Amino acid sequence: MSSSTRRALRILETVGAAERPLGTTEVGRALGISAGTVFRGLDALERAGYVGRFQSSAKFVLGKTVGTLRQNLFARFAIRDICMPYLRQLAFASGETASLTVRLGWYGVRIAAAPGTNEVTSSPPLGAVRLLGEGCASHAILAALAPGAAADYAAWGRRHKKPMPDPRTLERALVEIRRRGFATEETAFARGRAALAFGLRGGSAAIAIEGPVLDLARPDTHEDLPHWREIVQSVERLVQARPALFAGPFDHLDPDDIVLP
Amino acid sequence: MKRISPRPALGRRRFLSAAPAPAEAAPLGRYRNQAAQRVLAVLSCFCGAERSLGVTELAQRLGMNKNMVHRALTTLAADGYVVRDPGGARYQLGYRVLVLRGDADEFDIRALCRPALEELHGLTGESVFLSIIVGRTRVNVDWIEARGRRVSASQRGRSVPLHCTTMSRALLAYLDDREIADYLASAAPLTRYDAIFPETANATAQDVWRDIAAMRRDGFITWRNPQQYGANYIAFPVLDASDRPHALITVGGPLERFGPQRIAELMPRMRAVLEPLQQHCRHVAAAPVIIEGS
Repeated sequence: MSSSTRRALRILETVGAAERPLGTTEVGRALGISAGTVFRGLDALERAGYVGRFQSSAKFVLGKTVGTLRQNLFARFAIRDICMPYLRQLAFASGETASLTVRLGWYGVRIAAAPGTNEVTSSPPLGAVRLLGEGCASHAILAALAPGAAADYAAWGRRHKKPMPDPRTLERALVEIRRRGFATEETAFARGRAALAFGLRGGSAAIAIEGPVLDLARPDTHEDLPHWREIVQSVERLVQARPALFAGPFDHLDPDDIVLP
Repeated sequence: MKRISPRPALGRRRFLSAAPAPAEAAPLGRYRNQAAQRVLAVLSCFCGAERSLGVTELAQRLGMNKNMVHRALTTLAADGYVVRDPGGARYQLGYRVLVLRGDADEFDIRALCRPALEELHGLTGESVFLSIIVGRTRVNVDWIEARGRRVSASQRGRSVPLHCTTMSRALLAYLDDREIADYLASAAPLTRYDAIFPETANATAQDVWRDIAAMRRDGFITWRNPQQYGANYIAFPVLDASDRPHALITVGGPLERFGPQRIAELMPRMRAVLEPLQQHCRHVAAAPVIIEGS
């Protein structure tokens, strides 16, 4: 396998992970390779449309080809389009961004979102990936999986040296999520407040309300919880009635084989 | 189907990499980073509509030999940029692409319609509503309320069955006849929610179909709600290229201000506000509507 190819892919990922446009030197520093090597890699990527120049400068952002590939991949998740109206309803009912996270191996990927109606909302980009042990949407998926999944997840995590939560703490959290029917996560920008996520049966996906809607000390008491739950249950009924619509493009892969950096 | 061996024989691979035929390399141009370009060219083939691609197809399309394509796929598969499809012989786009941070190019019907709602509100001075279908119901997902005596909005995100209220029926009109018939059959008795939605109490299936026919014929519908001291409404659809519904935009006001004559006067300007939005939304497919039994 050509090392120039591998380098080009690492350069692409570096540009893809950055919050802002990157120059040749910055990419080189991030990857520990020379500016000349980065230049050749960027040139190959630019020719194929994988990166493009930011406002005709010497800095690079992801190009149109990546956008097309991403759209293509998102389109393979039929659940995304089906859930969109429900996410919009949930976003409007709560005022906060509502999102759909699907299971991908031992990760959760945020694949759809309806922006909240409140003035200030904050949310991660589409495609954001988190380990199933991190965050409320991932926790909600893990809690909805078959018993024993948490142990399998932990074993996989140890094999691949992923940061794993303490197994007993995680198990306690999952028991609580199953009892309550939703997972919570303290929001970074509003201490003492929490976002929440409902897992869909079978652990294929979770629907989250991403803003600080709950009081972390008393999460069960929000007066709109029954309404939100009702909306999620409508999706749940669809899953039951038409499971084929909720099949993902990677369901045939062994979850243990999916390892992201 | 012929299964492709996971790895080509070492000797052959050496032979090919040592001497690529000029004709095969030509489409990619003379450039020293050819290996990377070849791999990217293979990945770019997954931009198309095909769910999966085989080695032979890719080789033909790119003018490469099968061995080169196979090696490119092996490189891409090692990182999850492509994966084998469920059949095992072909390749599909992989999950690694998700991780590349992309533009926020989501089709957000609420954000798209918001400027039109504001313009319509500015033009008419009345309340304006944006509604979508969610399952078996209509939900208002945005609105601007007029000041003073006005048509008011329902509770945030409340669901209204698709046959209750004319506003709901105006959205129902853009499902196909079979879906509507199935919906009406499963929603029976149609009077079940009369206490909550007195506007369309005692309705029969014929009443629903009459509103549907009017909406389809005119491309808009007007109605009065005697329950809200003579509120008067007009609603316009926002459709995709197959005339499936994205959303419905409704303007409503008290009859003395927003009567039939005023609506007729404002009609050309309301249409002019909506026209660009309606055209724009035709380029994107509406969210699928799946009506399950009640």
